[in-house]
Amino acid sequence: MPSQQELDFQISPLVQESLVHNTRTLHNLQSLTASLFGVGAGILGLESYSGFLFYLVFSLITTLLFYALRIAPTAISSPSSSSSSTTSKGGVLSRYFRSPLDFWTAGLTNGLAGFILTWTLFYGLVRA
Amino acid sequence: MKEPSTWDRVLEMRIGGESFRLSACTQLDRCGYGTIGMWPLLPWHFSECSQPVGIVVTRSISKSTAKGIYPNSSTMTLISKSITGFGSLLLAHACYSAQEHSALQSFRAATSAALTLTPTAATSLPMDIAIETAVAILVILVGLVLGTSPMRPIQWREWAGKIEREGEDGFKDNNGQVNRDYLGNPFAYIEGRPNFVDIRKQRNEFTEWVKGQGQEQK
Repeated sequence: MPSQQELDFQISPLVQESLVHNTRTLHNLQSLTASLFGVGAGILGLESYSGFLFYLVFSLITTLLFYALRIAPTAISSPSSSSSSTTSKGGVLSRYFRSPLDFWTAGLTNGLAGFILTWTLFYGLVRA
Repeated sequence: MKEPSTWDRVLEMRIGGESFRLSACTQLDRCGYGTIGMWPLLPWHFSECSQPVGIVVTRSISKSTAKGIYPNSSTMTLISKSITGFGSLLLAHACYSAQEHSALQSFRAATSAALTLTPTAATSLPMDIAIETAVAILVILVGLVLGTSPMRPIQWREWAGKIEREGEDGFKDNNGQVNRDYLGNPFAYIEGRPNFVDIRKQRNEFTEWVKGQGQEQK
């Protein structure tokens, strides 16, 4: 007897390529912007916790902007999510990403290394 | 009269004398009505049945409407690139200002120490540089987000419906090139079956092509 989740996947199958494409797009954006935030934090001369707070705030802003500019506008064009029970669970977000939690929090770990790299670099360059 | 889409043809095929039935009708009720004919029409969803089944009302978005919804990608690229460029200029300026400021600070500190004046406290970064940095980052952020390639639906039925409605146009990246992993209509094998090929249309197309060739020869 297959589980409920397996049944769900059989009824509404997922497209693996699209999933990979969406995740990769978001990942690229986040690693690119993280190094940008590093530049900013270095210019501002932030140290220790305030720098990480800066990163946290700005990566959340990135995800919010991505949601507002890339995902939310497509809700108008798809009347699908309102009536069918399988897609309405997570709103528009579930059309493009499997779990909302991943979408909102993955950015924090994706770009942290790049952030610290450029942060220290620009801190050193500006304060030399 | 609108040009019949593939969906109409598929449904006609069901309604006609040799009818095919969706073997998972409950799923059709659940997903099919809400999703404007985007349900995944997989071969195993069909099974031949003795009596014809009822007409399923579907609605399809025409190609022009679909194009109106999604903005033209090349103008989007231009906008995003110019926004990003402007933001980078701001950021570079802020960086240069901050560097100059800190150089000035250290120069001041050195001279005041030499002249044995009261040492000026190291002032933090001026507010305008900080604001400029924050604004520059936000501007670049908007530019980069606008420059990302559009998301694709992960649900099979929505993805297939998007291909059906928009074809290649829905799968272009920001340079206007069709994406490499775009495979085309997933129903091609259904439409290409000999029983359902529109032979008259193809014959007409062939005649047109032959005529065109003849004119070119002259």
